[in-house]
Amino acid sequence: MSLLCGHTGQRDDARLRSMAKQARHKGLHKITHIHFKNLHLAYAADSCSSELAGIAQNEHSLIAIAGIPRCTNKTLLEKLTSGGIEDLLGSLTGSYIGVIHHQNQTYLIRDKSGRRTLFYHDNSIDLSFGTETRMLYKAASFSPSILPSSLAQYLAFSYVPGENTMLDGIKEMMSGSYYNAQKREQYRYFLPEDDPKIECDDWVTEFRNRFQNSIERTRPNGMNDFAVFLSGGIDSSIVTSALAEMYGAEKVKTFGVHFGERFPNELEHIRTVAKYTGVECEEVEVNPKSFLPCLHEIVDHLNDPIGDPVTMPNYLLAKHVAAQGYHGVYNGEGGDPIFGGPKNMTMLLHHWYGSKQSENHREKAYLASYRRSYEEINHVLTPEWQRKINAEQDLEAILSPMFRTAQPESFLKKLLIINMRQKGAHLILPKVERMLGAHGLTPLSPLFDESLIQLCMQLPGEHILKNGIEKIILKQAYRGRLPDSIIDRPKSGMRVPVHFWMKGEMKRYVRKVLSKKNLDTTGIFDPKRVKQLLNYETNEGPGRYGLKLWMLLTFELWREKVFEPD
Amino acid sequence: MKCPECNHYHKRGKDGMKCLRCERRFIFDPKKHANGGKGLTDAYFIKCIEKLSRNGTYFFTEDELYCFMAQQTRPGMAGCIIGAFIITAIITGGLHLMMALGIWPAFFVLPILVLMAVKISNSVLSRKKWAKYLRHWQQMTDNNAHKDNHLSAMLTTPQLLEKPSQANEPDIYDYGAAKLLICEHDIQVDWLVKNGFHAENGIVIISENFYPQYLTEQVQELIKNNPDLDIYTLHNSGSNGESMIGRLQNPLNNWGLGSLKIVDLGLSSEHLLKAKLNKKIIEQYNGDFPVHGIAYHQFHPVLNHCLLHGVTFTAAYATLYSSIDSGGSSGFGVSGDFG
Repeated sequence: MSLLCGHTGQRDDARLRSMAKQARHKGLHKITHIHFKNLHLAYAADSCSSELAGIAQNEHSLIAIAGIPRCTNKTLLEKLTSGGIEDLLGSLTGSYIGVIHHQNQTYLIRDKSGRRTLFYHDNSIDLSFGTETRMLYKAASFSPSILPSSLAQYLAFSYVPGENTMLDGIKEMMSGSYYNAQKREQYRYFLPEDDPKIECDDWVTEFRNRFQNSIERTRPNGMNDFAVFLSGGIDSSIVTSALAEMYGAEKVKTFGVHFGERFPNELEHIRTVAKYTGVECEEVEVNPKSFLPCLHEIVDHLNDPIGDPVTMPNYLLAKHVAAQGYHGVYNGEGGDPIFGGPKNMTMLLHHWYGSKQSENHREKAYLASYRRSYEEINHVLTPEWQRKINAEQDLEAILSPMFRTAQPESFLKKLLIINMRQKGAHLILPKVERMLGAHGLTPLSPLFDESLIQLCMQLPGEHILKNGIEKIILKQAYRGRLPDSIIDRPKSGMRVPVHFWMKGEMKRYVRKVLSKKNLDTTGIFDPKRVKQLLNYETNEGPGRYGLKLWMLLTFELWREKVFEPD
Repeated sequence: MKCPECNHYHKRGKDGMKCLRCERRFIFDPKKHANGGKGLTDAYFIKCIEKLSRNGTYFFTEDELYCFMAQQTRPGMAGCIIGAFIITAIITGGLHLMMALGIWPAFFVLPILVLMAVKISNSVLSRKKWAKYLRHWQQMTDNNAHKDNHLSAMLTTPQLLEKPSQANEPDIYDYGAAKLLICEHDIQVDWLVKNGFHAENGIVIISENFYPQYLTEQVQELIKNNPDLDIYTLHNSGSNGESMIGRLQNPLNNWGLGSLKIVDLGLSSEHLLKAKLNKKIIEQYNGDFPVHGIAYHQFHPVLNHCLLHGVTFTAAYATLYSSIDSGGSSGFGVSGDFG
C-alpha cells in the first residue's frame, strides 16, 4: 500500500514529516516530499505500484497518484491540460488515489470502483489528506471527537458508510468521486447507471473477457508468481481458475484459512478447487492464541473501526503470505457487492408481502437485514448517547437517495449500487487493503473492477439473480472450468466462530476490555447491557452475541488507540 | 402478588384487586385463576409473554402462548410430594394429639396425599380454561384505564391480507426464489413472515389455502419456471397435516404438484413422541398438535437448519441441540469471506 499525505496552505515541513511518519503500513519505498504552489505532499510507492503511479508536474499543474492506475493513450498531464479534471478521471482505470493541482484548484481523487482509500480533513483554512486517519487526527491542530451518527452507523452496519468516518471532521473519499477543495464538496464522476444501453449477443463471453482483462490490468509489472486468498466460494475460485488458465497453474499458490478442528470450515471446497485447477494450496489455522496478542495492532491498522471478525483472518493470512516473499495477493473481494449480496433476496421478498408500510419501509428493512447491531442502538448506548442519535437522519437518510433515484430503474440494480458504493467501497475493499497493507502486501481484486461494474449495470437482471440464485453470470462463465460442486453450492461465507470464542478462549480478554470501569469512564456504552451481552442473556431475538461483542471490542480498542494512546 | 406496573407487593384479599400504590386494576385473581395447582397472577402472565416473545422481539401465536404457559406453570412432582409430606405431618400430628394412638394415621393420610400430589403434578392448564383466561384478560384490558399492549404481538387474525403497494420498479418479481414453503394453516404464514423468516432465508411462504391470495400467481410462476425449486411443507401433527403432501401432489386439486419432490418439515406423531414436550399438553390437541405451538425462538433455528442442510425437523433438532455445529442462525459471527 503506497503512501500519500499532505496539506495545502503555508509550507510546514515539520507537519508534513510528522504526517508521513504516521504511516503504519509496511513495504513502502523511499518517501519523496514535493512542494507545488500551496500544495505540500509526501509520496512513497510500494512494490506493486504501476508505472503511471508517482508525481508528474509542469509549470501549471501537478498530479500525484498512488496505486495501480492505468490509462490508455497520452500522459496524464496532457490529458489534464487538454480536457480538465473530468476528462482525466474518465480515462483512468485501476486502483488508485491521488491529489491534483490544476488551474489553482486542488482535487483529491479516488478510483472508480473504490479499491483504494483516502481520508481528508478540511478546516476551511487548509486541507490535509492522507492514506491513514492517524496522519490527520494526530496533528496538533486537530482535536478528535466521535461523531454520534457514525457510531449509530457502525452499530447498524459494522462499518461507517458514506463520506463520514468515526471521527468528526475526518472524511473518506467516496468511490468514483473527486473532492474540490475550493468548493469543499465531493463530486461523483463515475456513474455507470447513466451509461447508454449496449447490445450484446453473448454476455457470458463478454463477462469472461472483461474479467480476464481486469486480471491482467490488476497484475503488477513483473509479477510472475501469484498468491491467492482462496475461501472456497465462487468468487475467489474463479480468480484462481482464471489465473491458472492465464499464467499456468504452477505459478499460482492459494492460501486458505480454518479455525481449528472443532469448528466447521471450508477446507473441503478449498482443496476441491485447488485440485481441479492444479494449483498449490496451503492451509493456515487461525485461533485466539494466534490473534489475541496482535488484536490491538489489527484494530490500529484498520484506521476507522470495522467490526467484521473476518478482518482478523485476513490479517493473519496476509502475515503468513508476506513471510513467503509475495508483494501482492489476488482475492475474490468485490464479487459479492457487484454480482450478489445476501440482502438482495431479503429486500425483494420484503416487497412480496403486504402489511402496513411506513414511509421509509425500505430503509428500515435494509437496516434490519444487515443483522449486525441495529437493534442494539436503543439498548447498548447510554441514554446520553442515544439522545445524540436520530435514526431517521443518521441511518435511513443515507440509504434513501439510493432507493429513490430514478436511475437505475431496476430495484435489483439499486440494491447492487448500494452494495458497491457502501459495503464494497467502505467495508470490503478498505478492510482487505488495510489488513494486507499492514504486512506490505497490495490487494489485487480483479472482480471489483470498473469495467465489471459497468457490465453489471448493462446486464439483464437474470444474469445476476435467477430463481433466487445469485451470481449467475460468474457461474455460467466458469461452469466446466470449476467443479459443479463449487459452481452450485449456496453462499456460505466465512463463519468465524466468535460466538464460541467469546465464551471460551476470548472470555477474559473481552471482559477486561469491556469492563464496567472502562465503560463508566467513557460513558458511551451501558455497562448493564454490555454485561447482559457478555453473559449471553439479553433474552431477545437471535442473540448474535459473539458478533455484537466483537463489534464492541473493536470499537473500544480503536477508541483507546485514538483517545488514550499512552 | 406483585403489581406488574410498579412492582409493589400486594396482599390479595386484604388489599383488594387494585394496587394500593399505582391503582392498577389486577386482572387475574390467583384464587380464581389457578391452574396446575398454581395461581395465576398478572405479573406472571406478563412475564410469560415477555419470555416467549423474547422481550417483544418476536410475534407469537395464541397456541404458542398457551403451550408456553402450560409448560411453565406445571408444578414439579418433587415439590408436590414434599408438600404432601409436610401436610401429612401436620395432619397426623394433630390426629396424634387428639387420639394419642401412635403413628398409624400417617399410613392412611400419606398415600392419599402423595397420590393427590402426583395427580396435581401431572395436570396442566386446559386449553378451554386458558381460552377463558385469555378472553378475560383481553376484555379487562380493553376496558381498563391502564393501556396494555402485551398481547399486541399475538397473531390471531390474518394480517397479510392487504396487497403490498405497487413498487416503482418493474422487476420486483422477476428473479423468482429458490425455495417455497407451503404451510397447512394461514396463521403459520403470518407467524413466519411477521418474524422475518422468509426474508432471512430467501424463501416464499404461502398456505395450502393460497394465503396470501395475491401471491397465488407469483407462486404458480415459481413452480412453472423453476424446475429446481425446493418445495417444503410445514404442518401440524394430525392426520390432515400428515396427508398434506398427498393432497398437494394430487393432480385433481388446485396445487397439482404431481411428482415434484417435496421435503416434509412438518410435525408427525413420531416427532411428538421424541420431543421434550409435555404429553399432557399434546393431549389437549387431540392428535392435531400445532407446529406454531412451539416457541418461535426454539423453532426458528431448527427450521433454519432444515433448510440449510436439507434434513428433517427431527434430525435438525437433534443436531442443533447436541453439537457445536449449530448452523442456521447459529453462533457464527459473520458472513464475510475473501470474496
